[in-house]
Amino acid sequence: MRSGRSNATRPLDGMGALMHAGTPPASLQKHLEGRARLISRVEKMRRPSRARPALVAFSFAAAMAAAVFFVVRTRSAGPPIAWHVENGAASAQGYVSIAPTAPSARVVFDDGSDVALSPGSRGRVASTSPKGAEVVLEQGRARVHVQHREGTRWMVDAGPFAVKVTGTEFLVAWAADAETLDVWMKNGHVEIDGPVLGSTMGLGAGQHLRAKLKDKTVTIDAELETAETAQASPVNQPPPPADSTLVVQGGEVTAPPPPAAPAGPTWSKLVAGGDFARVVRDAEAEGVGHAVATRSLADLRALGDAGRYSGNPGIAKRAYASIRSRFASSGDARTAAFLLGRIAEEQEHASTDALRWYDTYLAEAPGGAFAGDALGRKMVLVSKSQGRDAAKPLAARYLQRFPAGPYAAAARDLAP
Amino acid sequence: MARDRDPRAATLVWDRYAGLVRGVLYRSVGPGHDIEDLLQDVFVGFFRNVRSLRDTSSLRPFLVGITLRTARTALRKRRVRRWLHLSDDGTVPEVASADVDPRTREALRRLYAILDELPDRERLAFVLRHAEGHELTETAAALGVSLATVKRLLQRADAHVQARAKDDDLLSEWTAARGAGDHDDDGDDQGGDDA
Repeated sequence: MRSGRSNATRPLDGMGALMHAGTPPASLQKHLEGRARLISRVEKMRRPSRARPALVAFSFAAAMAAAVFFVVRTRSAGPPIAWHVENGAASAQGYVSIAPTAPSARVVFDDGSDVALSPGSRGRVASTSPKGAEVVLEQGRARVHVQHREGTRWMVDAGPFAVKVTGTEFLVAWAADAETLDVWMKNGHVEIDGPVLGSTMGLGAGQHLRAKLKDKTVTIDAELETAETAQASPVNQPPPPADSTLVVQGGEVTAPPPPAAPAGPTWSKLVAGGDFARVVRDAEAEGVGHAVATRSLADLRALGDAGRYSGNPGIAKRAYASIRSRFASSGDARTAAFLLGRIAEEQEHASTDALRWYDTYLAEAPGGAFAGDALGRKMVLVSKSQGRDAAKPLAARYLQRFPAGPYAAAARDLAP
Repeated sequence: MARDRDPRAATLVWDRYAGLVRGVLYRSVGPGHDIEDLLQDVFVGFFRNVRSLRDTSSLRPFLVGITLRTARTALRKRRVRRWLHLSDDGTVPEVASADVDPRTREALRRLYAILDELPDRERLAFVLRHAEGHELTETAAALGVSLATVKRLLQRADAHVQARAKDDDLLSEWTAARGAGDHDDDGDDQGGDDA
């Protein structure tokens, strides 16, 4: 891409060099802050919103006012509704798993509402409040029955769509691969928001909506639920007898878990929100050794980030080491090698360790997302520790592979 | 992952491209802007529009395109603010970097004052070509114009900057440092005029 620049014969390229000289480098702090801010914004983008830029300031003020109002109301409205899972189990993050022999897992809320998740589906209870809950259907089908009460606030997120519920019964299906939403209404009324719908769309009893993102089509008809959908247990069906609520896990029959407490924010969410200290505190309270030995990949990833951002490289290293041993075949294991190199270089000033990790990453993921960064950092480290001549081959290699990369200017300086 | 707006994609894309985008943004709009806010705008725009990206190997030019649109918007807003006298006196603020010597800082101030005299497209074409080292075809693609148009934009921008810089002792140091070759060396780009 920059072959023209390598000639460096155009006088005006000197102006470009001047601009480069005046470009302030980004501090690690700014980089991390920016990343946390972006993650938070991307998280929010997963929920459909059509706020226009001109309304953002107003919306923000309104949101703040609503938040204050909500907090005040929440404090006077009692605790969030509790829930538990029948014919399945709930993880600490609110994910619901279905017992292998069960026709569905039933999430029962103590306000009388319930959600039945079909086999093969993936869903979780994202949050609860005194007035309702937010349930996320990431894949598959769920039969939803919301008990109507005054001020009920229920939301079902299905892919990029949000179904706002006040009191109703319906079946919702989200096929992530086909990017298709189906909602079959049994009774009541819902409001659906999301892409391709144009505006918030109301749906009443007996109606069926299908929204296809790929085709950008929306159809509303009276199609009945397919036979396949009947797998989700009818909500009016009496609860299964006590002995059928046993959970089969790892070939052993165990007692059902105690009613799950309302799910708190996941470590990933805490990191996305910049609350790195809390993740570290949680891990320390649990026991870092236990956490790195038992936590999920997502949690380990979050713990590693939290450790790095909060100045706890020891915890971050343990998280990444665990990723590399427990999830050795994952892409995260390779990324962990690069991040271990960054920790060694930035936080421990251990150049030899850093070089070793960068080499590990480059060997394991020569075309990986951080290959340019690993090679660039290696070039800089070698230049500092072994001199410019030693770094020249690395600079040439960098320019060959990443002629417009962030270390290209430094590489050209080493190998003009 | 990015199409699904997976936060993990935000991490990957940010770590991979934030440095590149920050640099292009800073050199495009110059000092006096909150680059971090603009940077966020670029990446949010990326995640908002990434579903329209068919060829994942075009991710970098796709991102650069969003970066340039964001830069143009920022330049336009700044011009309006100056026109409305909402900013100080329209002069280019001090260069934020504390790492450059006073002569370089002054040279930068003068260079961006000259760039401020250019229409936005000429300015961005100049930056892409001379600061980012883009080929003509890449510059044209990034700006969404034809090769013929980008040549015209660059010709005008180069002529203007050269004319304003030639009697400036500070700026001359930077042009002289790059050798006395003919600046009109577009021969490194193959391909004809597609207008």
